Amino acid sequence: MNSDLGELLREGIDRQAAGTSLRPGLAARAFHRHRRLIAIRTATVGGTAIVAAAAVLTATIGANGAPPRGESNIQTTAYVVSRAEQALAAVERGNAIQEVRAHAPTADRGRFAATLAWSWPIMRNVDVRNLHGPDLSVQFQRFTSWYYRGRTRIAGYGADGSLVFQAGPTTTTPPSGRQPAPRVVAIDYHRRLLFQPISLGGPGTPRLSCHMGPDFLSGTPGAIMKSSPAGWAAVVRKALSCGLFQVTGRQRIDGVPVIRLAATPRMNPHLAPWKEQLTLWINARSFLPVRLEWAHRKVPFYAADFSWLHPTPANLRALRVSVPAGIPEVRLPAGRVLVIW
Amino acid sequence: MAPHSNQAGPAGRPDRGRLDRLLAERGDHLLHAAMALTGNELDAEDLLQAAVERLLRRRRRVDDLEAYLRRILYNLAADGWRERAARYRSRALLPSLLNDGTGPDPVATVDLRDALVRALRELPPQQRAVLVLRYWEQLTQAETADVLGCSEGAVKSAGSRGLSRLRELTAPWHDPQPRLANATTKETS
Repeated sequence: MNSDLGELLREGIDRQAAGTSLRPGLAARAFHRHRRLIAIRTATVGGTAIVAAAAVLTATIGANGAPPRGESNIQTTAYVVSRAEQALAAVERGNAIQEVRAHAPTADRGRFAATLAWSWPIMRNVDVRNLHGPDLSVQFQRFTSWYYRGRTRIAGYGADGSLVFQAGPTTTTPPSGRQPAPRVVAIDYHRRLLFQPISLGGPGTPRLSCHMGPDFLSGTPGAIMKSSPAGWAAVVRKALSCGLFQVTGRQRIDGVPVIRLAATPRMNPHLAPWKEQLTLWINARSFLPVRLEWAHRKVPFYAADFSWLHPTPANLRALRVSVPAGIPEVRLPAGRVLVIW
Repeated sequence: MAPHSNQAGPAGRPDRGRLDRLLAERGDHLLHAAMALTGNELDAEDLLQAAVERLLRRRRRVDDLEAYLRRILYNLAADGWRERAARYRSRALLPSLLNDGTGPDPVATVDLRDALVRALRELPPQQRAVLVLRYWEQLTQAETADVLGCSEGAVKSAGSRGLSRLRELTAPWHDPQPRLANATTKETS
C-alpha cells in the first residue's frame, strides 16, 4: 500500500510540475541580492550601516510608501509586473472568475455605450466598418462584467442602479472540463428587446500605446468590458516594455495592501500636451489587479475595480443571464449575428 | 529521478558561469522539486532562489554543485524558510491561486493523485521533504538521511508518519461518492 501511495504521489508531483520550467534570470537575481548583502556587511564594518540599510530599503518596495528610485525601481517594477503576469496567467487557466466593476466618472458624459450592430458570424475580429443595421446602442452609467474560461457576461446599470442592459450565456458554466457552446443573448431593458444570436467578439484586449495621445489605451470601454485576464496581462507587459510603469508606493484599498504602479506615457511630439496617466493597483500578496484608473490631468475618466472569485457553482451563476418572461425576441436578418462593440 | 551527479563545470567556489550552466541543465528539475516542497510555482522559485543565494555564501570548494544546491533546497524547506512562506500564504487574497486551499479545491479533478499532492502541503515540512526525496527523487533511506543531515531512523519515522497522514487526508477520495464544491463563499479583494 505504501509503495502504491508513493507511486501515486510521484505521478501527482510529476503532473503538477508538467509544463513548468525555470524562468531565466534566477541566477542573476540571486547574484544581485548576494552582492547587496555583501555591500551591507561591508558598510556595517565601515560604520556606515545606516546608509547601506537605507539604500536597501529604497531598493525594495518600502513599507512606508516611499517609492524606490533608479535602477532598483526598474528591477522592483519588473518583479511586480512579472508576478502580476503570472497571477493573471493562473486566472486565465481557470483558477478564478474575473469580476470587473467599472464606471466612467467623466468620459462620455459619465456613460458607457455599447454599440449593437449586425455582422457575419464568421468574423472573429470584427471591424467597426463592417457593421450594419440600425443603431441599437445602449448607454449605461456603470457596468459589471464577469469572465471565466472564455465566457463573458456584461451587466450595464443606469444612474438609479437599475439593470438596463445585459449580455452573456443563458446556460450554466461548468467549473472545469469541456465547455459546451453556450447560448448567448443580449437584452435591452429600456427597449424591452431580446437579441440572439449575439457575438461578444471573443475576449477584447485593451491596446496600450507607449505614447500619449487618443490611442494611449484604445479599445475602451468595450475592451474593459470584455477583456480576459490575459488581456490585462498584455497591458501590463506592454507598459513594462515601454518602460512606462513605475512603482509609486504602497497603499491600502478596502484594507487590502496594494502596490501602486503608475504609467505616464511619453509625449508624442506631433500632438498637443496630453496629460494622461494609467494607474494600476496590484494586490501586494496575490499580485492580482485590484483597481485600474485612467485619468486625464488627474481627473479619472475610467475606473475599474477587480475582484477574483473562487469558481464555485454559486459564483459561476454570476456568468449566467436570466431571461425575463415577456421580452420579445428581435429577428436578425438571416445569417447575421449581433455584435457588441 | 535518481540524484544527478553532474558537476556543471570545474569544481571550486560557485561562480556565475557554473551556476548558469547548472540551472540551464538542471533548473527545471530543481524547480519541480521546489514545487513539490512548496506546492506552487511562485513559492518554488522563491525557495530555489533562496537556495542559490545560500550557495553563493559558500566560501569553500564545492565539488558537486547540484548535490550541494539540492541539499540546501531541501534543508531550507524543512527548516526556517517554510515559516516565511506559510505566513505569506496564510495572508493570501485568493488561496487557490497560491494552491494553499485547505481541503479539496472544487475545481480540481477528483483524482487521488491531485489529492495526494494537495495533502502533501498539509504535512509538516520535514515529513514533506522526506516523502519528496523518497518517492519523487527515489532516494534510499540512507541517501535521504544524508541529504537532510539526520539519522535513518528519523527518515523512517517521518516517512511513515507522513504516509499515514496522507492516507488520512485523502481518505474521502476513496469514497464511492465524488466530493465537489463544498465552498460557496465569495472572496473579493
